[in-house]
Amino acid sequence: MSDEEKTSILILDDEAIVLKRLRPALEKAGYEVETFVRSSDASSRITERQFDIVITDLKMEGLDGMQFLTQVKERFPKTEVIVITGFATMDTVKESFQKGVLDFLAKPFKLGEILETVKKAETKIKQADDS
Amino acid sequence: MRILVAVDQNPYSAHTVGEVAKLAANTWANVSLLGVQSKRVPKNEGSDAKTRSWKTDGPLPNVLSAYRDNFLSYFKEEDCPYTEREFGYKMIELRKGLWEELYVCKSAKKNFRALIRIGNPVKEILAEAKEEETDLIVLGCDTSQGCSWENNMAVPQKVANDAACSVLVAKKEKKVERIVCCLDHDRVSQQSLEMINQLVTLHSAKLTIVGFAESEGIKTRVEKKLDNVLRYYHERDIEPWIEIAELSSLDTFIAQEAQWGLMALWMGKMSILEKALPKSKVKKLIKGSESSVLILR
Amino acid sequence: MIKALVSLNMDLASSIALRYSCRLAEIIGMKLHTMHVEEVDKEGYSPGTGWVRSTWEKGLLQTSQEEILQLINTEKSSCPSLDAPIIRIGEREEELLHEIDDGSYDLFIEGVLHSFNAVNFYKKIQSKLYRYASCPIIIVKNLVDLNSIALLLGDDTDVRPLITSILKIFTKSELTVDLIHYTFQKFKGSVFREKVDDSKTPGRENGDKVLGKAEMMLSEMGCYPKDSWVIQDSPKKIADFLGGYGLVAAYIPSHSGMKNRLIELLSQVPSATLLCRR
Repeated sequence: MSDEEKTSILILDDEAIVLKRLRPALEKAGYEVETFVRSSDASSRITERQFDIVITDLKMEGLDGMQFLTQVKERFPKTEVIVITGFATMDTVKESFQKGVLDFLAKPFKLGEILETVKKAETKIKQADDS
Repeated sequence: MRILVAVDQNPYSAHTVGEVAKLAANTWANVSLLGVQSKRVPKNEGSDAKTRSWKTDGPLPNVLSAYRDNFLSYFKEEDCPYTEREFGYKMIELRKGLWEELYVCKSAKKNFRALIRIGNPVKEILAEAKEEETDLIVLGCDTSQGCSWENNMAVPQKVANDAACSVLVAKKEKKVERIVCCLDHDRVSQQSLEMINQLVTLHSAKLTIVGFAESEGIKTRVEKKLDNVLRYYHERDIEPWIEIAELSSLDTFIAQEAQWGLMALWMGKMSILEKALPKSKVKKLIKGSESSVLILR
Repeated sequence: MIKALVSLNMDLASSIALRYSCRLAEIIGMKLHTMHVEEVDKEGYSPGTGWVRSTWEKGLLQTSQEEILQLINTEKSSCPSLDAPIIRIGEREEELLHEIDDGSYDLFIEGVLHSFNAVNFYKKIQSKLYRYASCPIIIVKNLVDLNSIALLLGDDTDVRPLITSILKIFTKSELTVDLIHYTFQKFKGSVFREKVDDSKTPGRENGDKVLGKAEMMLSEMGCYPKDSWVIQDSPKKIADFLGGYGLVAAYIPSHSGMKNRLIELLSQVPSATLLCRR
């Protein structure tokens, strides 16, 4: 990823209201953002291109977030994944980290909190690129 | 999620810290533990001085340390998001194009802070919550002692009334079997639903959504709101009970439903409950309710 | 096949009742028929007589049909056997009673939102529809898991009418059945809740007798209850316990003056309630 390129983010959440809130905030912060309500659509999108960061909800109809993040990490190990969930349990936290996610955010959260996490992911990606 | 746990030196605060630790183990929330050193000397301390002097090895810092240890003891070391793990040199970008190797402690995954503020407890708790953009303030109290804190101050009641975010007043040792959520007809925020969801998950509790009817005329509006909330939950494979209660029997209803362990009230600015439950009633509810009370905003 | 009539209006209670009925239909193999009655003669509603009225009624029928169809269509994916609704204009209870009789239904189902105030439930029980319906009635208050049925037995006279009705409707289902003998706590008297196999609290002998009779009747038809309970408590506490069941069935004779506390109990049960009245 060169300095000139915008960091790309894919957000998957079946609650449109969450996407409506996140997308403009992240775009305003300078990121390139694509949002998906349906996990099947997000799943086919990652076969077309790589994203630097993926933010995904866990509890969704059809392909759940855990399956989706597994697909992402298998396909693009360098993509940093952030999990957001409204129904957090110790097991989901554990499983998420075992699958290599960078961070886990329980809803509700303020925009500042997710921006902070995205910045952390971006720094990690830059450091990996530089080394 | 950012949680602020306001504590004092009473046993209910120790219990509250334990409850928050369980929630934090599920959610990996950023947690701040806040004790407030009141400047006023408690009557039972019998000192001649009018204001209390601040000492870093005083009782409040000591009890706060004990709460911190107790909080962290809920986590296995390898699963704890709050413990810093290693010190070492790390390249840090100071500004664009300038990097420096600095000796740092690699930060923990999540923040856990223990803080003391000096001043009026209610004002300091609210100020900390505002500065930190807290999502949830948690504080405990003992119903048998009128839910008062030091100096007979109604801290939980006042914080619940005046905070801009959600507030959970945790009562000691009450198992949460069912969360009874009294619906606000004007606005149900996404954040409030999310807060309920985390608590339902934490306690493996059942959920009841209550709609209040003022008169026959408002019934359609109440039903519409209930329908929306119900659909939201059905889409998530959760089947809450719904119940209609008359606003005129609100007191009786709340007294009866308090048995379930946690009562949640939406208290938005234009909320029907805000109108029906003036501040004095909310204070009474928190003071007298057997169950924990969650004020949703 | 069991034939059920579901009363529908454009409200939340009906939407819940329809969803519950669809689940029940899948479990017990039941054919659902839906019906909506447009009450035109309510005060301030009727626009005159003759041609004006008949044209107005036709328009009303069409609008009602469209609205109810919309409600049905939202459930169609999970309940494909739902047909077009029967739409009538007239007095609701009269029309429903006619349809129940003419169509020889085995079951009538309607939604009533669970209410803290029991007045509406009392009114329902006393209504003409509930007193004269020729089949059992299910009142759906909440959309609950249809995992098990609780049969409420107060005394010996409840056993035959309740078990007969239940066997007729649920013979082919694999739903778990529990028998519950209830007595109400007298002023500051003792309370208990125990399974029949557990140690005996003094005062529950009558319960054991009633439950034994019910068990025998059920087993003769190849139906074996999972658990039998004897409970003595306040109506509210018993209702809270019953909240865990997907359906609570009780016998309330049409002249139910003697069963006021049972009605109080049923009004507080948050799940679906099946009433046998004959």
